[in-house]
Amino acid sequence: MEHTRMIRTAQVLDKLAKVLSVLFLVVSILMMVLGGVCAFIVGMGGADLGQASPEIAFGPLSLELADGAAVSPAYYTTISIAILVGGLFVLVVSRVGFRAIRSILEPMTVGRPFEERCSRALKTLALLTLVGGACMQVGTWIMTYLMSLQIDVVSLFAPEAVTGVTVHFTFGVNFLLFAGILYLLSFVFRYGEVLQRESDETV
Amino acid sequence: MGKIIIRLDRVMADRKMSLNALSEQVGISNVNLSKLKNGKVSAVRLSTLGAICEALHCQPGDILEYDPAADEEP
Repeated sequence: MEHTRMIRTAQVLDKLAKVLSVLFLVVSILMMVLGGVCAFIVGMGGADLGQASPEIAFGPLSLELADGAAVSPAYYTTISIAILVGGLFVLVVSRVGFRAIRSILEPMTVGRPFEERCSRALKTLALLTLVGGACMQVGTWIMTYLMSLQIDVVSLFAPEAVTGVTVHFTFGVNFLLFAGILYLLSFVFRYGEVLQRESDETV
Repeated sequence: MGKIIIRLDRVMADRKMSLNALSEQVGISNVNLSKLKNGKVSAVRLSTLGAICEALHCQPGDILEYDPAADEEP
């Protein structure tokens, strides 16, 4: 009964992973195209277009400004390049990540969860989490620093209300913990592979 | 170190029992029984050994033999 449930769940998740893989591929390509086009337009002197009714991201908020006085023209170049690089990042991470995830799910769809490629896939996912998490962290720091230079935040508020702004650079360790857990799991699956082989060779 | 030799084919021939018939009585597949007969398994469950002995009316010692001179497969 549990065996059948594992097979069915793995089949559903495998199909979902296949769909998400295609979706992420499309999104990453769109991001790269959009970033590239925007960077080209800005590079050709199109920054004025953006400043006509500029919009800036403010955490989870999107602020529509009356004029572009508070925003440096370099902001639009930065955003364009960020979208382009972000698209490339999503492409690489999603291709490698979903391939590894499907390597783990495929043996489960035939009722054999412990294959050699599962252990290797988990190590790949651990490395991807570590590197991807570090890249995202560094990317966030860079973007935060650039935004602090390119947006005059203080001018958006009443001078009597806000007199200055300080940027806080944080460091999240969740990705380190998750990478460590995935790495440990790879050893568990390696041991499971040995047990599965012994079970296969026992009548 | 010696090796356990499986003499299942000898006992099956003595009892004039085919692989199919034995696999049906024991309750394991032809493939696995064939692997056992050819010594291609690394372990046998006691329950399987018991079922084979019951089907062939023999003792485990009739099926399993220890040869000290044989080399264990790596």
